[in-house]
Amino acid sequence: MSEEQLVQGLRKKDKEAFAYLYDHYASAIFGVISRIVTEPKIAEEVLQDVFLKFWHKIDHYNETKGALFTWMLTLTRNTARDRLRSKEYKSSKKTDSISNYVHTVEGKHAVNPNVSDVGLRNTLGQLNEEQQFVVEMLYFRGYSQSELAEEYNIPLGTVKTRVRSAMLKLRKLLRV
Amino acid sequence: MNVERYIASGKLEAYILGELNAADEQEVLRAASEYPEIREELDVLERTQEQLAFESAVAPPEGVRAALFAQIESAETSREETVPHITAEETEKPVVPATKPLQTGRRLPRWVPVGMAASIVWIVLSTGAALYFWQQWQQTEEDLQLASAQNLEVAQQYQRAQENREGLEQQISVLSDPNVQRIALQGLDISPDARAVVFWNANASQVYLNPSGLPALSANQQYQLWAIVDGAPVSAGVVPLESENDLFQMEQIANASAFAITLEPLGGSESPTMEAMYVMGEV
Repeated sequence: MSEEQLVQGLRKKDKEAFAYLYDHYASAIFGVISRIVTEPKIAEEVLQDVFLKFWHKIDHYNETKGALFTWMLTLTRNTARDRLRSKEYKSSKKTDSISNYVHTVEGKHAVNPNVSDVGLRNTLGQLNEEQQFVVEMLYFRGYSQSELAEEYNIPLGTVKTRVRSAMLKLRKLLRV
Repeated sequence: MNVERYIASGKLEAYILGELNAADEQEVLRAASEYPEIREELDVLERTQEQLAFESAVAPPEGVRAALFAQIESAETSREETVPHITAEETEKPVVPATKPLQTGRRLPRWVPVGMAASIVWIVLSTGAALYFWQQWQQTEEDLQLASAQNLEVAQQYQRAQENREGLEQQISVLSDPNVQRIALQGLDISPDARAVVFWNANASQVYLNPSGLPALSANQQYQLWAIVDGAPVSAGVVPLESENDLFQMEQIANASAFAITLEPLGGSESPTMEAMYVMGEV
């Protein structure tokens, strides 16, 4: 299925298109969510949440602005980030630590950043420390450039140039 | 517009991350439609981001797929919407290319195979050369982009160093002026260890202060410098709070017998709080 067909299918509310979308992208999307929301139960909820958004809000997607996956990623990061900041999350983080532990022991969820992203660690490991940091924060933790600048006291221009040089290096490593 | 600079500015990365406001987004889109290099850069950034996400993929928990479909179905039946189902087969008819029968009967002159062979060799060679040079060019392009990103970072560092140096130069010119008197202010009873230094050019009425030996301030407080002129205190201004420099130019004082610093509420006072006098030094 080409991206165009996929988008058309989703707009027509074709469930096959949705199945295709889920089967091809759910793990990539879940990877991003799991980095922002570390609580497995909530990460799972966010995953459901964003895929329902992809289904219901596909008409908001505008292909002249960029690829479908870019739209999905932005929506995912924003949803996960909002969830992280919600009161609900903050209170659950205090009370849910036991059930969280149970999940981990049962191995139901593979949300363990130390185990699951060996490939990514290898790739990021080839960037220098500063570049690793900005990529991690911006692409995986859902920070915006200005938030990162403010919170970590780095000039915004420096954040921008670090992202820039990191992305240039990554595209070589990932053979984009 | 300088395309290289635009690409190196970091704006495209912000665009891909969905961080720009509507006006900036429009600007990027306009630039992308005008300059193919920018369009290309956006595509590469999108693909890099996508690759990164796939490299860090995590298998989702098992039940989610079924739960999602259940939710979609129930949303649909409650709306009682029937969407005509169009499958790929109906919309797309396979196209069978028409093949022309080869003409085989005609005899060709003998030089033709040699000429053809030669032109094929030529085509292969020039395609190879073109590919080679294209790759070289791509590589150079990437190197150039990396270099301009680094260049920008170095320029920012240089700018900061430059500002720093200008501050230091100004300090040196103040301190090395032979008309400048150095007055050490010593700690008083409430803070015997406190120190400060006033540099006073009486001819030019200029007063400079190095307050770095004063105790740290708590919120809503500020130090204020006073000159004792004919036995009465005259304010020489409050000491700036943020101190990237350690030498501040204060207000002008033409004659003084002593200088002193008191602790005052934020913004300073009309007259000094005598019991909060930290340091003092006679001229």
